[in-house]
Amino acid sequence: MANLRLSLAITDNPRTRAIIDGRVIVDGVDFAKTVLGPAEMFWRQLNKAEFDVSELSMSELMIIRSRGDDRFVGIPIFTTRRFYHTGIFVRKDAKIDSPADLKGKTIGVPEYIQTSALWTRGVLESEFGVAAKDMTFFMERLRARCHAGAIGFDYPPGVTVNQIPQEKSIGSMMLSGELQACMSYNRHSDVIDRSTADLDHHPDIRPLFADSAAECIRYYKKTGIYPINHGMVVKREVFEKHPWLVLNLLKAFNRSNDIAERERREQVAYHLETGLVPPDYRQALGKRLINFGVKANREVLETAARYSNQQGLTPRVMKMEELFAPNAQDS
Amino acid sequence: MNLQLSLAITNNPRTWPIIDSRVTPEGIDFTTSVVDPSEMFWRQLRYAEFDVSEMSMSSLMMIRAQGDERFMGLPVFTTRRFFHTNILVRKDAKIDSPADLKGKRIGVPEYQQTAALWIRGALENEFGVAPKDMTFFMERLPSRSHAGAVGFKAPPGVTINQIPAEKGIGSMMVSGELDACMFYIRNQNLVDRSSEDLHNHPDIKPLFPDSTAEGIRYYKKTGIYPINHGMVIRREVVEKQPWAVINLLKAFDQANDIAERERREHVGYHLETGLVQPQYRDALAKQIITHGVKANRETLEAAAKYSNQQSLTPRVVTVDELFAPNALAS
Repeated sequence: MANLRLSLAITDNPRTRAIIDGRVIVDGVDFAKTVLGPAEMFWRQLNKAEFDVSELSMSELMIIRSRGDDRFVGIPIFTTRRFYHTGIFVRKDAKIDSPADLKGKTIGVPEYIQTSALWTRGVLESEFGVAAKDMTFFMERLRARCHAGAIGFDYPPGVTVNQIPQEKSIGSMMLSGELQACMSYNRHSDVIDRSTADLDHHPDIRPLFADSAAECIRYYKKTGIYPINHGMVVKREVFEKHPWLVLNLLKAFNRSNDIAERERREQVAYHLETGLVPPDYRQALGKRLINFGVKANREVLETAARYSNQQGLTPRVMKMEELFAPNAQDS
Repeated sequence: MNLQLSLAITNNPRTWPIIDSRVTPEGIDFTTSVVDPSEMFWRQLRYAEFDVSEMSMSSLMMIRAQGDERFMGLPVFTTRRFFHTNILVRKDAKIDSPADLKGKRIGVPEYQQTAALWIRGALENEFGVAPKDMTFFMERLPSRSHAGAVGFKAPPGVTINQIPAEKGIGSMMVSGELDACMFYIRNQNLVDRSSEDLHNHPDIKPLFPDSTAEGIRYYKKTGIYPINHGMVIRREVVEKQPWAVINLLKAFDQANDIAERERREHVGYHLETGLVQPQYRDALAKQIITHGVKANRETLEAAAKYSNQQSLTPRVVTVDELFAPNALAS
């Protein structure tokens, strides 16, 4: 009997690479693989459910599940993380010296409901007392090509989300002074995003956190949370016909993650041997940060679910049971 | 139609993109065999099986000095280590410092192997212990050794005893028939046969209790990160297709660039979370390995000097003799 033939959309990073290049095979499955940037991937999935299996924004998965959209079943595989709130840029002339100074300011965001913006607003509110309604949002993606448009999402009451016109972008409005700050700035322009300005090196722009690496570490030490961006999903109709697929996928991605762990140690060996990095970091560099499954990520996911509800993106706090396939709940 | 070449290669971050075909040299299709170096070098030195392969730098110097012209070197250097920090000694052998190796029995898989060249070079030039001060016991048998393949004889004044087929470095370290050994190889292949776990044996310890610290000391002092393998291509291939040399170099440079990028990606999360302090971001991004003759001349010249000092070569082989002429400007 032949393998199941499925389409897969996936991003390229150390934890997915062994799946992409075929070193790790998912038992029982032949994939037609498409490596995509997440903005386009999520739009194509939310809009037309093009791929049988893909990564998906955790924030957007929570939103669609809360609205009874059950086209997709979640799989607890989390390939990308970052401390998103440290990615906020501000104009130097906007008198924003600390997060609290964002109150009353105009702030750009590519997509209001994207997971990195969920985390950025969640941390601004819980760590620094700046709520979403305290700022005026300007969203770059147009209704016809945005994740919110694809699922008919309307912005929560009390929050102002203005549309950036097609001829402008977050980048151009940061440079012109029409925006005072922006979050989740994405310079990689594609079918969804259109900013191109290099804000990292512009004389009028600086990061909100002067030492953003230090802010990442402070937040991580305090909360233990390393924010998750993408989960994975499988189309419900595929899952219902082939329920074994979920755990086979999870096992394959665990193997891929194991390879990433081994490769990191091999990749840094020369830097440790020569002392470019002191040998006492050998253990830290060998430490595993990423584990898939619900258990290892429950606290991070529950925090995201709480933020989602707090920000009015979901009408209730979503539960793991609602997000992930039943056979993956114990993972 | 592309040139069809057989390739023997080891498996490491700098070769992965070649092995998995993310990088392909222009105009060349490889038939790739991932082979352990001990076995690879023996098969090449003995039978010249592969069109392109990695090769022991020490053995390459020896065959070039002997006028053996089967191979031309390619300045691609995929593996390095501070080999002398790997010496193991018996705890009851009264060896507390390198100088105590004088008068002792020391095992070596293959006297001429590059790792052993560097170890003897470091022992002689850093610690004043010359090869003739020790008694060597070599594990590989003449029929399956690099020495046998190239007709190597022990240099004058140096004693190299043959370990019999029924014994190995491992068994002789455990039984006390050896006091020490250099570059212990435990993975069995066509040419090596030791299997004992000396690293965790109660009677055995490393010569340098903090071997990492000794590696760093040596690197800071000398700036040398000892090269083990270079690459070779069969001369007849280059004579017919001289363009293959630079195309191969470019492909291995691209593979190395991927290894550089992947290292930065692999450590991204550890830097962001502070498991590794952010001040080491630049250090972890620093490129240590660069292929080509220029970037490695000093290290190669040190190896050539050691090779002559140890009488593996009758003169100091020059870098220009080792590599294909069109690779010398790399």
